Amino acid sequence: MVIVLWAVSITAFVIIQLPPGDFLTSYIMKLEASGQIVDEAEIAALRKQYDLDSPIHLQYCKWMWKMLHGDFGKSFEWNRPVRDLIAERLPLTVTISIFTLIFTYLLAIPIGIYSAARQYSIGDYTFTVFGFIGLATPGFLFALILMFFFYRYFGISVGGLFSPQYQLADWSGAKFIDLLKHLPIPVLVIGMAGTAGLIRIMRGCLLDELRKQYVITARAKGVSERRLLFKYPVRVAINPIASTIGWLLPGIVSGQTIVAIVLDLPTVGPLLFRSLVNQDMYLAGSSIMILAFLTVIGTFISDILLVWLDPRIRYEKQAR
Amino acid sequence: MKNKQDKTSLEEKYYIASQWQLMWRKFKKHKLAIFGGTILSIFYFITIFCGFFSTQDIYKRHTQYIYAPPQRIHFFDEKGFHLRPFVYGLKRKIDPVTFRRTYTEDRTKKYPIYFFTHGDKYRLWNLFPTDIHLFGVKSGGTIFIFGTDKLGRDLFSRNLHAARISLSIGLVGVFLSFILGCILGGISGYFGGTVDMVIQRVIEFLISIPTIPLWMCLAAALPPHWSPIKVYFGITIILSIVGWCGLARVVRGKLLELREEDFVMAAKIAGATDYRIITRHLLPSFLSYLIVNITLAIPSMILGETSLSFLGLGLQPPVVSWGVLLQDAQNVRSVALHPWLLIPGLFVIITVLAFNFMGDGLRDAADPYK
Amino acid sequence: MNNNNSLLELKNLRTYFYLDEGVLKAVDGVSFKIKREKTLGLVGESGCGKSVTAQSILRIVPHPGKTEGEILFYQNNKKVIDLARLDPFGKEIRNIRGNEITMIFQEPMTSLSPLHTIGNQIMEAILLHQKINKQKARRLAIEMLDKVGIPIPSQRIDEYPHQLSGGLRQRAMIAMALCCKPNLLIADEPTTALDVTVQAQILELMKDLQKEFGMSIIYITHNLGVIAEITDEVAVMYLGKIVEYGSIDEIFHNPLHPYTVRLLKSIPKVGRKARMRLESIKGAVPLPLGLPRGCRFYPRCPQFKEGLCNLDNPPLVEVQEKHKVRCFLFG
Repeated sequence: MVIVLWAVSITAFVIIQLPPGDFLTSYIMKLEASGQIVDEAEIAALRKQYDLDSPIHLQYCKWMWKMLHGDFGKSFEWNRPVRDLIAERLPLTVTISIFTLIFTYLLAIPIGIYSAARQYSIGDYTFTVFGFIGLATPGFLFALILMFFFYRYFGISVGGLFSPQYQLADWSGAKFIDLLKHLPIPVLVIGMAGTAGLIRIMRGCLLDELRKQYVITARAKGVSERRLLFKYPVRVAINPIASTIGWLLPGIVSGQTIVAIVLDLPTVGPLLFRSLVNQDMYLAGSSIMILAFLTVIGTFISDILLVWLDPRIRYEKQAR
Repeated sequence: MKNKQDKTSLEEKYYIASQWQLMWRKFKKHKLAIFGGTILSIFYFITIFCGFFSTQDIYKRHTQYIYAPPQRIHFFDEKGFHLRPFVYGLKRKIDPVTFRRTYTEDRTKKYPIYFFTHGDKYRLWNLFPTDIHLFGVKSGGTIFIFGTDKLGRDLFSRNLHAARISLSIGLVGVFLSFILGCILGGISGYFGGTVDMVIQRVIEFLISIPTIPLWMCLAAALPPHWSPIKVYFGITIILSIVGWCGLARVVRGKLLELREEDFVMAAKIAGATDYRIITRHLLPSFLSYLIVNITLAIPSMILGETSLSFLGLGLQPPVVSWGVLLQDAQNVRSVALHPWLLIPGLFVIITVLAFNFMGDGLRDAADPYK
Repeated sequence: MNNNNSLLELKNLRTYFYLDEGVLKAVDGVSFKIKREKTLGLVGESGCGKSVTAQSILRIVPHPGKTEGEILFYQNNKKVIDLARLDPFGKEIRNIRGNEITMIFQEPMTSLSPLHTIGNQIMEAILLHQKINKQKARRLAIEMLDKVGIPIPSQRIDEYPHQLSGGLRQRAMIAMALCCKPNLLIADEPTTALDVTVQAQILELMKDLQKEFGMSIIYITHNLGVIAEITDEVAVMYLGKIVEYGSIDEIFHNPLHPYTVRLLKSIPKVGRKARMRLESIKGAVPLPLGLPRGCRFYPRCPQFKEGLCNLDNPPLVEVQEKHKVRCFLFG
């Protein structure tokens, strides 16, 4: 896991270095475009301040060193420490991710079980159709459609996570309730694709599992159909579900990035977007690192969960 | 007696039918897959001849008709049914206070639709200059089936041209991923050992990074002065950087499974080279799986391009793709007033659905003996 | 009414699968009787309907199969139940499954849930059918494991199936099937997947337990050697129909149906001439889909008679007492 995180940091750094020129070139271009005189001395000072002249590997080492000490550098654009900018938005990002994950499981697992148990029923077909559409609709488009719908027919705009009066207010019970009121739509939009995918996986796994010999054995033992479904196959089918966090979480973080831009959510996604557009390298690098960290850690937790759930893996670990 | 012989010969046919015949037979039974396949064929066919199917030049500005709503095609007027369909002209009204334009049908003006009519000039496949369009109205009239955008350009024609980019980027991207995936997955699965370990770690790493932020970063890194063609290929490469992982895993998994099979062992003992074993014995036996996975990988490519272009990080105007067209729909207010701006999104959904349906059918068919 | 001590009687049992390609007649008019404390062998090649017959008795035929005909089950209290009429998901049949009629399967590897201990799975069967508490059920399960010859049962009970060898797993399966003292045990190729030495042990075990519990056994196999070991009567099946039925001696020493004759000739014997080839039956079992008219075996039959065998389906005729055959050569 440590190696993966290290690889993430290198990737982040390389990505940031990829664009030709740097923040200062675009800054100079902006100044020139507006007809201002560019002060050479000022530029040189800025260059020094941001270490833009030292060789790349030194820049990387310095960046990493600072990062390990909690110093994420300074944002050129906002002229504030990157750490503060991310710290402002990180809790909400994590909150939305966790809520979405919970929402996905709460919805997908029962529907998956239902679809498998009542294969080819009307309900199964309905969910299958919804699942296909859910998979095919890009998150931002769904967000747009929802926004359009609410705006057109209810005259309300559904963007953001807080009502205007709470936007800058300190945390309080009322603000929290306001947040909860705003959460459903982002969670629904971000979770849709994952839910649709998970329903299909769950259904497929269960159907495979239900055909297995040990289920027939249990049935021959006189176990009722309901108990048969819940005692045996669901346990087995939950395993791949637990391991799906590995792709579900990246999917959620990924979907969240773009949906947050459309819905104007105060999360890390839009921050990353703006920093990329402006070539604000420390901010962009830190943002993508944080997002990747989140998913890697989440995946790691899911691996632990899986070992705990499946005695076969547990046994192999012990045997080693 | 004869009846019985028919039966046995039929049965024999079942046993000697080739793998592909069996797959095709099974695929035909999957109604949704056939449906998806048909839609995709139509889309791609239209895309190839998009200049012919569109009604006008996609850059032509109708300044009199900014944000014009879609014109309905009529068969009936006050006089009854007409075999030749027609559209009514549009009457514009500008609100003196808000400057909002509203359009109403002008029943006095009628523009009949002609087929194989002469219209704006274009070059078919960039080679043959012509001005024949499938349908259109005589000059002086207007026909905006999907309405117009903020510069008064015809969205129907723009959507058709956008399909060319959006649909092809999926194919080109998958082709690149396919090559990368086959090579790396093949090496990984066939040779095993350290190479396998390294490639697997790289795949795990790439999969653990959220794709859209990664794509965003890479797309932002494309030099802004690149020509549209370069950007197009740049985006395709970016999409394939993540896309190959899934395919490589499939290839590797299948290879590991097949490596243990007797016929590979037999070939090895007979002294066949590695290359020959891979191409002659292994590839054919999982080609069907690859096709399934490719079909299911295309939609994510299309969605990726659309998302990037929508954010303004992918393709840039004047190039048109569905994502670029959707850029105009970023503002809720403008969407609420001009809902036809969302039409490209509908195309995206239909295309991805069709690919998923087809992939599903292919997956079922890939195991013809089951 | 319940003359000559029958336990189970099948009358014209038909299990059809309604597929897109047509109706697959997996079991087509099977009738036989099992007496108390006796063993019936059900023999045939793969795909001839043996397993489906067993599944039909317990009503666990997978979708889209449908069972018709009569399955008369003579319970201990002199009551007769037609299992074919019960709702396959209903309570009555569930009370019989695992309790009065139990079944063990071919694959000991996959027949046990990988996620639960064998104790958990055996106790489940006990708790479902007997009104006793968990401690007692556990004690009973350990007792059963001991009986089927599993060493250190009090420790093994908490192990997972993947920790046991194939032979031990099959013993655990037998323990599970016998823990409610059934009247009828259906054994669906229980030794096919095991080593030959283990096979013999398991067969011995089953014979001993049969004596101890006084149950009947339906033993399904394609291995005629095993049949000779354990059964009293044999039914040979081909393509969903019984083609020959008789006592073990009759079948082995006086086989009539060409199919039975071929089957017997395909067993290797100690002491036969080394150069002699084993005889096999030419061709494979066809799919029972849209079968031709006439006897089902005629396309593979060496004694096929044109104009007779391919026109009508021969009836099952009693050639002598306790020996029936379905062939025009004897009728």
